Amino acid sequence: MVQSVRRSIFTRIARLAWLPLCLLLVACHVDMYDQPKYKPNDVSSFFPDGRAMQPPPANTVPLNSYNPNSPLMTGRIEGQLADQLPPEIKLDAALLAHGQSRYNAFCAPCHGLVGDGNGVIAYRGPMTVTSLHNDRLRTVQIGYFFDVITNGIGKMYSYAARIPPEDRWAIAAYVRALQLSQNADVTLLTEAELQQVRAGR
Amino acid sequence: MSAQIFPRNANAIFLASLFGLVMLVVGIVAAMVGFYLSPWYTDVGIAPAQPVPFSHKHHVSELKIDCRYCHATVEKAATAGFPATETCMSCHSQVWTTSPLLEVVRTSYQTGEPVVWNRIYDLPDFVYFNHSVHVAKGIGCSSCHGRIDQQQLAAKAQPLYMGWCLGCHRAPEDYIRPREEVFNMEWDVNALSLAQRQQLVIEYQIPTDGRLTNCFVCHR
Amino acid sequence: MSHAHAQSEGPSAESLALNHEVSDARAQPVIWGVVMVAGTMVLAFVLAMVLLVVWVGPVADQSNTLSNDEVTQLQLPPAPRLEQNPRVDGDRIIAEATERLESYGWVNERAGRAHIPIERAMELLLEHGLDAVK
Repeated sequence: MVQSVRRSIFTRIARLAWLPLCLLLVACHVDMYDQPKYKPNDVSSFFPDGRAMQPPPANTVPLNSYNPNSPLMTGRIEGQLADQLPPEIKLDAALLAHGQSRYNAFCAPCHGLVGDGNGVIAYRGPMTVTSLHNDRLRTVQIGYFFDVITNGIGKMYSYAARIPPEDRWAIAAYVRALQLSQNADVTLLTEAELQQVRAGR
Repeated sequence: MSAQIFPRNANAIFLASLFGLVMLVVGIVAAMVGFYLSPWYTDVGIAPAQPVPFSHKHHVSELKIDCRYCHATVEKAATAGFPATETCMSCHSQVWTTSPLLEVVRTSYQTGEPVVWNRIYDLPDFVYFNHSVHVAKGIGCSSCHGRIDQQQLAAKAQPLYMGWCLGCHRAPEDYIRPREEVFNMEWDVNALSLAQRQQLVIEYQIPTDGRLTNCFVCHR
Repeated sequence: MSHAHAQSEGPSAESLALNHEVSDARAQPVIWGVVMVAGTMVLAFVLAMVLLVVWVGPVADQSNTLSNDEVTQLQLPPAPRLEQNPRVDGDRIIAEATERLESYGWVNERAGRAHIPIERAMELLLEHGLDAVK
């Protein structure tokens, strides 16, 4: 008796074996694919301008950021263009290497990898791009380069939105290295290098 | 002598229909799998219409503009960063200033209304993907985005199936490259030997103990 | 070879006696057909590959020069002309700049100014400070 009851329970359970097949239907839901939340660059129906990424309100600075009036952020010391790197930036090989990668990405299209104003865009476009290798730019304060990247000059737009201040200083330092590479005083060089200069190799 | 019930070719028809039935089932399954992997479903290689017919081939391959010039946050943030209209205008205020193709961009710059582009890579919302960590660990743009420098109009290069993600998370040494070459579109993975690539995996401190395939690495 | 088809029309005496067909359809010709179709596909694939290998080279033009023959030259508008292969021009500009950044040479021999590799310039800059440029 007990056995037959147990068996009938087993058969009942066995009859429900098709239920796991319902799991196959679960995969058809796509609710989680598009959740009601904003991701970068989404279109918004909530904000009047249609952007999920709202521009920061005027006169705000990022949390934990630096003093917006410091030399690091303005390239100026008491209103004058800084003639040295701000205290937060240390001149070392890493800074120059970083500056090189930034320069090649953001500046080289127009100014050229060498900085002579013969970038690929300058070659094609109807414009004259300033060379970095002239006496005016060799003697100007380093803060000048920071200032130009930050605020733009002439036809050059501001790159402040794309290049953070630390990177701008790295680029400014690298520009100095570029200038040195194209106008090095031979007294700085070794005798072996002088040979190479004379040989033009 | 009774009449024959079955015509002479009945055996052949029976065999053929048995065969046909099996082939039908196999064919339906194969067709579903094929559809799942095909561009009809995955959109791979299909360039959606965009407000401006922007050519990566022209800007990357011919003009030699670095990826980061426009996708500036790729090294710092989860998203590569879609260029603002100002980025386009930093060149196109000088170059091609009267092109009707760029009317949308100029209008956007004047009015401040963003240009609405059509998304090409749409990850499901339950997947967390971060560009910066991949770039920092030596996974190049072209590893996922293909040779986008050869595409006139941008199209998806990968269906973004999970198995594809896991392929690299299980064996990063098959895809890794030196950090300096991340933005090099022409880099060939085989330029380094397997041993050198394994060395890079160690150097960049990529976990090889299986942590990278934990569910919560991407689904969190 | 095909004894089944050689038989006359109508059911055979044996199948009439048993009330069903005794001979099965022959699988051999079907299999042969499939093999032939597959073989043709493979052959066509190989042929297409060979054609592609032979032709794709010349199709992708890597050159940046116009032919020198008179007909072409007479048809050309005055310079500056459209770029024929912007990619080649871009590559050239990058290559020239890279070469410049990796070599030594005089800039102004009388003033004692030279151009040096950028790596060396970065070293010198670290050594002598930012004012080494002036």
